[in-house]
Amino acid sequence: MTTSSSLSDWRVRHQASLDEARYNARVFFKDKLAVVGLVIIVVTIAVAVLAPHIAPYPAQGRGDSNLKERFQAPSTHHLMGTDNQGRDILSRVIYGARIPLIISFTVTAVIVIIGVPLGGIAGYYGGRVDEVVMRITDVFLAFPSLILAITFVAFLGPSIRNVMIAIVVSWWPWYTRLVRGVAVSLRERPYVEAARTMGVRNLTIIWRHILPNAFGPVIVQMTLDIGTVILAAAALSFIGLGAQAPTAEWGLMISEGKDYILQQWWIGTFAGLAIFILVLAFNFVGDGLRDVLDPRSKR
Amino acid sequence: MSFLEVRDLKKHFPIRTGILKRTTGHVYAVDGISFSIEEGETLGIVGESGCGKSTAARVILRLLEATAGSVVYDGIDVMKASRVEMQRLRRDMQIIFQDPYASLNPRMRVRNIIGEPLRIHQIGTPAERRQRVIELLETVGLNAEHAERYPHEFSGGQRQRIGVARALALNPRLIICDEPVSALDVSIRAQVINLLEDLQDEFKLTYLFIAHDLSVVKHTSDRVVVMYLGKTVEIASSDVLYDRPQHPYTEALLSAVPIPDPETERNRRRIVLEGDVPSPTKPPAGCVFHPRCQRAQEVCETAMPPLECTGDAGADHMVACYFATRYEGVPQRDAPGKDTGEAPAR
Repeated sequence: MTTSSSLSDWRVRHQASLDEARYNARVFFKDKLAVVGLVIIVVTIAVAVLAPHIAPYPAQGRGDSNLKERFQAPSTHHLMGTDNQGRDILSRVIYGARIPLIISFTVTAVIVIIGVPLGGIAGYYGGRVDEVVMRITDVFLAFPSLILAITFVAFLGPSIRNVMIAIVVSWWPWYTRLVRGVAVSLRERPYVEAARTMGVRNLTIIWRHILPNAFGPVIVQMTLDIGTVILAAAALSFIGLGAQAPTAEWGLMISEGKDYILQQWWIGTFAGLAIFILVLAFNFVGDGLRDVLDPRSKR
Repeated sequence: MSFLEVRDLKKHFPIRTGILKRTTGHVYAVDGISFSIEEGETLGIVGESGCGKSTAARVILRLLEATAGSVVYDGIDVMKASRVEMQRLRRDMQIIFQDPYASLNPRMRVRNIIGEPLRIHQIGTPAERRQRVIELLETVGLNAEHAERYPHEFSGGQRQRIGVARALALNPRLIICDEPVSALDVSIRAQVINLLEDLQDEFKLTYLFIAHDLSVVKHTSDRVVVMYLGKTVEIASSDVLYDRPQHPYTEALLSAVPIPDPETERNRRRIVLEGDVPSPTKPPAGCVFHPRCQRAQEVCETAMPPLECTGDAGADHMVACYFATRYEGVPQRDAPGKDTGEAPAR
């Protein structure tokens, strides 16, 4: 009784948010490719989480070799064949989904945490603060990001953690720039002036009035960037600077398969396909979200 | 000492160009305006868009730093106030904006929009603040239900009421109304203006009422300041200004106000100004109005006429014109330099 009345009360109070969410969902789900992308991402996450239960040969997925069954072509026993150490490729592709997901989500989250507030500060304060922050981003952006990341990993030593640090270092300035641009336009809004007239402190204004209104473009950029981050991480693993054998990682698997690509094509190909599909899925979702969140394409 | 005293206020925005950001010029947005407001009074400021009305409002509230001049509020120099003093002053001075769509943060609920000033100044407990928000909503003609909604769920007029409630939250004494009804439908304007007048009576508010529409200002204001290109050209009590305008610019503005009587409307003489408002980056030498003025003579190109009382249209009637319209045959004041001796006929 009470629960139902408080539930309806909640519904009434959040009517607007619910309507908004429903409308946004409708726009998003009208985009078939975005839905396909979302399904792929959800399935990939599920597979990564449940890898020990799904993978036909979990031990091989984790790296145990099985030298009796090297270079087997795809068959009913090994749907994607086996590699040079006799490990089941399907199991390794399944386990391999974990690293790119962890890397891409962590890296984009950290980038946003660093880049977005800096952009808000630069754009809102303007003047000298803006000048200093933006010149720093210019320095970072002047390096080709992959080369900067390689230099960084070479310096810190190859490991997945260092790959993540390297990507963060070369990537955050994009978000600072993006948010700065939005913040500059929001700074002159009357509601920001109203807040200043009330005596709200500058950092509070940035936090409460600038950043929440800059978040649409950030979310879209994040989903579009997650794919690129996956690619960058795989590339670093491919050239031996990221994940180390015997870890199952798609970039590393392609690297391991490159010597056999003509005879045992399946060793590298399936990992490559996995990267391709996951990155494409994130891009589809990013495009779909842009249609929802970008006011210019809305209504 | 008046309640609010604005003295020779100037705001020049530097124009910087090139890599070295050298200052190559200035926008003379506000170029020496002076006026005072008594407590409980409504002072109107009128002028075309771009004449510096809104900039003046922002400088008075110290949202922008003044280039020169002073603003004294209740004996305190606002321009020199310390951070702590400023924080206290902010409770007394509030602003209502023109665009009700841009003046409310779209991501905040009305409850938080109106409650924000209370929270910032740490007034009351959260429960008391919630109660106060509801009171404020009721004061401006909305109700408690509206507190949980977002700005986009309201009409323009309702949003403006929310903006008014926010401005009232700290019990201010001075409210600057920056064209509060210009963006509203004509049918809603009267409601909002009446609300503002009721609030003035109830809370003893002082208004600085900015508008480009003379009919609105006439209705609301006790006295009116007419601005042109960053300068004050005429100040008078509103009845006097409408009956006996002295500055040619004021006369042109008045002649553009539609009269709700077809007969009178058809027969009256309209003064149509030629040309555009000059760019505030290069204000004309001499009187800022002379390039568009029908009465302009050589003397008008030499110096801006001082804002003075001519004495024949009321003691508090000040005008900045060498050839101000005279009434009741009072002799023409001598213009400096070459004197034509001839007052232009009205």
